[in-house]
Amino acid sequence: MRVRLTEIRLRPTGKKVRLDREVDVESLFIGRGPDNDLSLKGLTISLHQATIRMSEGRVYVESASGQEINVNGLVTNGERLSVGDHVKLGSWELRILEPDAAAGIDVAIEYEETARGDSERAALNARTQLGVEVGAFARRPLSWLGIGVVLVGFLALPLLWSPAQSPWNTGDVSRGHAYVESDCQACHSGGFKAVQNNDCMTCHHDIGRHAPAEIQMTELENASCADCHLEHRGREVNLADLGSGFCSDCHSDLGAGVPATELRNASDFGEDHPPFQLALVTEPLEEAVSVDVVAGLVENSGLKFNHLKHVGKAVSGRGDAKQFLQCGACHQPDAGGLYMEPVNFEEHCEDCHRLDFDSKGPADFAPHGDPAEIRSRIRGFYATRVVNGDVRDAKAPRRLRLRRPGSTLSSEEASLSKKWVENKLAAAERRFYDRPGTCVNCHTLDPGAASDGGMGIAPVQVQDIWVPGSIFSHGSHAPFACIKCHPAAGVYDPDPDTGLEQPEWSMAGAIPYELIPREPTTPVSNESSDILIPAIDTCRECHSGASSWGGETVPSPCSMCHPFHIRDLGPMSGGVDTAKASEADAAPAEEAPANDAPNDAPEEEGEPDSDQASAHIGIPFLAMHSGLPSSKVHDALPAHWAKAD
Amino acid sequence: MIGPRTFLEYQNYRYLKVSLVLLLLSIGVYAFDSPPGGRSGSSWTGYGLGTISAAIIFWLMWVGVRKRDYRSTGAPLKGWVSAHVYLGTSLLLLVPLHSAFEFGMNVHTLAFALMCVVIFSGILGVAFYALVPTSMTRNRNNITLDAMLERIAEIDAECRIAAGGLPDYYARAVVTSIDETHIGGGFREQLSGKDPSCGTSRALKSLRTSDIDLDGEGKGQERKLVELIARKELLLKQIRKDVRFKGLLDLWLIFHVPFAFATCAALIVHIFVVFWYH
Repeated sequence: MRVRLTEIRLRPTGKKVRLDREVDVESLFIGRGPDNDLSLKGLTISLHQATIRMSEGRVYVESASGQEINVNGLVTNGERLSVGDHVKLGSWELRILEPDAAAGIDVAIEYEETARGDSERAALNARTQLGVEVGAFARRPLSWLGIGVVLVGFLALPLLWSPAQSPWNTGDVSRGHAYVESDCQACHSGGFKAVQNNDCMTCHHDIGRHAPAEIQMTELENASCADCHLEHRGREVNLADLGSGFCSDCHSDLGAGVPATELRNASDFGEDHPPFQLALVTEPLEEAVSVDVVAGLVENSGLKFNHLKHVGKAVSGRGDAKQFLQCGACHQPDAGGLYMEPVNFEEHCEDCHRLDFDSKGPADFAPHGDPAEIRSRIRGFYATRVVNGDVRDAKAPRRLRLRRPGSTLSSEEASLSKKWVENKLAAAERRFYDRPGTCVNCHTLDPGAASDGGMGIAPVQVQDIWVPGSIFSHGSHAPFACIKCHPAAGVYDPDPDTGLEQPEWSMAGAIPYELIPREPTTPVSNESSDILIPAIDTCRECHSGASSWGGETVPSPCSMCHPFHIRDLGPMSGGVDTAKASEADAAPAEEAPANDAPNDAPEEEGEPDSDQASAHIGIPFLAMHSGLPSSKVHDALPAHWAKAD
Repeated sequence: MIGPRTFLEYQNYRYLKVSLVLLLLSIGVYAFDSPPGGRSGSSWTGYGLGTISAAIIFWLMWVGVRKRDYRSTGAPLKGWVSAHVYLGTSLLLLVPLHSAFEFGMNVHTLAFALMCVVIFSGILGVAFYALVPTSMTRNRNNITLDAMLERIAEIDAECRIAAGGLPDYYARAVVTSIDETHIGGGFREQLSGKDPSCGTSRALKSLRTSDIDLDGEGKGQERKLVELIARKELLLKQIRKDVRFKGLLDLWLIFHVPFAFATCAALIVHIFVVFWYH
């Protein structure tokens, strides 16, 4: 097939020229590629766009690439062509002319670039906005913005202005330290420096050692407080709770590291813990001995007391109402809720056991205390009667009874008076020593032991803290009745009026505790030597080791009962021995607050003698230990404390 | 363009295995660690996991440098991308293990939150790379975006010629179709893949509803014009789809990269602060 191709080209002058060429081909390939017979430029044309071929004298156009072809304005994939047809390929238009048969031309094609899109393309480009990164919304500016915001907001600003440091806080500090939370420098004294022990000891200067100084615990001596006490773990986290594993590392086989120790091994309260050890008084005024709690153990406090005779007894109270003696009538928890206050004669015994010394005399009674003191007091009482002419005793010598008040005693009267007073004293002492309900009820007499050589009282020593190796909080156990742990102490006599058992007594704030059915085998304490401290098994009914969880028992780490830092052993290295400091310097203002019961209310702290002391243990200390916000603590402070702040 | 399969399956999932081993080791160390005071970012395990995590983060950033280094003779880029994806994703667990799952309203958790944005945008990127290119290729049908735009320009030129002999009504439609057709545009326009106010659609509608009676030659021209503008509308649809696909492939990076830099900044602040006040 011989094809004449005529290009109509537009000169820049605007004149059109015709350029003819002839090709001899099987089929005429048309496309963008230079290898085509008819190569047309333009991106919208495929490399091989179309083919024109001849078959049986007819001319056909076919799409070579599947790209559409536009013939006479209609889109097609292939079409027979006749003279006069227009074929659009991209911006080109091909027109089929009458073939010049004379010249041997089978097909004549005239082609021209009709609609050049160049200027349209420029305009289209102006209306085209591609790429999702527009203006500042692009990776680079946004990256700089991100870096800038973070570095300025969270590094530069906090470094220049410390209130902006709060985002640096890795987590809430524990409740005890919450009052200094906004003041980073209170604990972090310098940049790129770990929290120093000195920072902690600003407040905790008397923090106790863990072991006596003789036991060299180098690792501990050199340790940082912060190694064990991790702060910023949350408000309710107990910094002292390091888990039992921390303790059992050494204490499961303490002898291996500390051969000289007398402590027995313990690694888990539920599984591996020695029996409780009591500080037992075996002889009053002698040092208490350490004894395991076992059945049949007795104490010797020098006192006589029978719980059975007291508990549940109906007594007339200070008011008119009849009351039944309950544990709380004598045993009151201390202000910290830890231990019981000592029983006190004036407060707990005297209502019933008043030391009346003269049944016929006026309502006067001896104080509780040193027998010599009591004797002197009784002598004074009767002597005053004589001096005042107020002797009404029918058995007294007549001269004494008829004396005028205020007149000077003659020597005879003085002699009579002395004799009478001594007789009265002897009568009073007989009441005390012979009659039930007075001295001999509780005390053993010791003739001649008194400072005046008269009748004395055998020494008494009541153990105040029975298990000194641990801390027990009665307050934490308030929901339970006393007899839950001290069954022998809580047996009541039946109500004398109704014959019924009395309701249990439990501590203030406790859930009312209804009658508990009691077995006949329930122990009863009717000897003063009875020891009512429970053995470890009683505690284990509710408390198990720290590692047990998911059960109904309370997982109890060592630190629940045992403090790590024991003040009695002296201060940790770098600390201040407050006990020695206060001995050496009697000035109370210098005395650091040795606070055994941290929950003490302000008035229980004792009266600080100077503003310096109150400033030290004032608002921060109370905020720390009461859990009140500082502002509220300020209101709660006594006036003379408040002014220090 | 690297297809996700080539880097996800790189060397028979080598870096997936590396990441899983790293995670299992970290979980093991974490589980058996019981420092005094409980697990935390400031225990030795915490420091260790934190150091590893920080090293991974800074290394991940280096991919941005490596991918621009065409002369590199080291590991192939797809190996880098493979490790980037798997190690990056493993940070979602490594970092919480480092902090012992402690979070709060602070710059430390900010670093973690920024890192999460980076990782999730990266996962989105991988997903886009897995799904979009197939559709994009199918939509392009062997024509480049530039060729499609060129064709639009040609059609515009043809339209001007075709409308030359027709009444003003047609000329106005052509002008609308040309001047009021925008391609791409803002973020939303590009990602929607549609332009409800496209001038070409409106022109086509007005031509189709025209009730002007034309004579024979005019009728032919009108038909040609309608044909052209209809073709243009189809092309525009194709172009806008293409723009949308391209947008999806680029979009995640706009989050991934700036948040990655912000994460690095926050990480530096984090490290500075924990050693400033430790």
